[in-house]
Amino acid sequence: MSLQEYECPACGGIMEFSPTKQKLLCAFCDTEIDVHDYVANHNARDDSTQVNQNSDLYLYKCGSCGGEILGTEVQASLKCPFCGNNVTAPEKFEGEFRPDYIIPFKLTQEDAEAKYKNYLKRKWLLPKVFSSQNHIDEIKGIYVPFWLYSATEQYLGRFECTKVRHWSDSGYEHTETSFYEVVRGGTEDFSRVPVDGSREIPDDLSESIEPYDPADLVPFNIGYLAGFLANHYDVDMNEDKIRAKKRMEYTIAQDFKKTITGYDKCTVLKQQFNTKNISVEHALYPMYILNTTWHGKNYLFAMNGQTGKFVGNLPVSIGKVICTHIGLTAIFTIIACLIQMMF
Amino acid sequence: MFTKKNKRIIAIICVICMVAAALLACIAPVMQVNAQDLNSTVTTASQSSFLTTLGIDNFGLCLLCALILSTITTGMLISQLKTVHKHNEATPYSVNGIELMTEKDCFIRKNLEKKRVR
Repeated sequence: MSLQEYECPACGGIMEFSPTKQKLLCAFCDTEIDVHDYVANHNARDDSTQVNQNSDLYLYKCGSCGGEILGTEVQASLKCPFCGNNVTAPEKFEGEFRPDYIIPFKLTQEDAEAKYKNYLKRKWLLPKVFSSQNHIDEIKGIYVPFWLYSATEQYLGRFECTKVRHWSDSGYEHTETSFYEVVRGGTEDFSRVPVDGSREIPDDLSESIEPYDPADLVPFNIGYLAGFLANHYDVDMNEDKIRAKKRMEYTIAQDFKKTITGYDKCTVLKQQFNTKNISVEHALYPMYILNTTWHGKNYLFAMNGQTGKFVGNLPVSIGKVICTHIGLTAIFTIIACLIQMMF
Repeated sequence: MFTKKNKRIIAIICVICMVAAALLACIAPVMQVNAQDLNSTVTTASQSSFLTTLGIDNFGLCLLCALILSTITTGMLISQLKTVHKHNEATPYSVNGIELMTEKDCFIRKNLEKKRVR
């Protein structure tokens, strides 16, 4: 398997894709090259790979320093741990694995670090030592494979709705309940609903940093991967289709339910869904993964490499929870007592 | 853990609880006065004795409301630390919203209930 390297044509240094300049940039001589131009002028090297077929792990040989680069079967873009050389295995993105589009990274690793620090601020119940002493073990800029589903969703829903009216006269209270059969039906078009095609990235993590703006999608070019990790998909498009359909069905049902107004209560009797004109595209979306360990537990954070949306579950300080609860109870009691004394 | 919609609901509940706490704190002494001194209607007397049976005085009532409020607030603060969850909605990817083709609202029946006022 051949490896694509990103050697600067001017000084021989390592080139990386710069999210701020949207070009390949040499860290040594500041040479800037358009992604498309670079790939057109430089061929992949064929003499630098070694594959261990007994396991899922692959061993590559760095063309720059000769060091060994270890990667899994799905990893198509890697970094040499010895010299920092950026290498890509273009064959892993060939044929059925070739993405149609890519959203290039818009934000840098420094942005991810700053977002992480900002994310820890104003979190009252976060253990203080976590924010003051804890350090990020690793920040990875990774292109995650996504399946993008476009479809027209048809919906037909039958509801039982009620209107309730109360009144009273001398000696009696009257309640009148009117029952209605409500039917709503129609369609909704969805464009590029993304579903994560990588088993390595937890689905809840990738969905939490949505939405991505498809306006930034550009045709795939391997040059955008320089300096970032990238996986090819290992979840089939038919497997992910179930999730995409579920999301579209949930959304259309909610949208049609919003059109039912003027009733006190509505119960769903029957709902029918039909997905038409479904089309699938394959794209790579940018994501920063931040990893940290605290008290022996691993904490994973993610940032959308396009919009900067940051997510991650943080530990809770039990001591702070108890103190906050007691403190708030005392404050609210005083306020309630004061209000009572005023009247 | 909590979506934006849920957080909004919790915030509304908080405000309602605050108002309810203030109102209850105001009404409770009036009810007791009515029951003890004026020997007024059966309803107010029974409400007062119900509170006394439970052992809830004015301060207890304030404490109860404060406990509810602080639990909700603490819950909201904990939810700030948990931001990873599955998203079922695909609203940002809807092209032009819904196209309503069938819209029927048919009246079926009417139920009438009558209760004697005590």
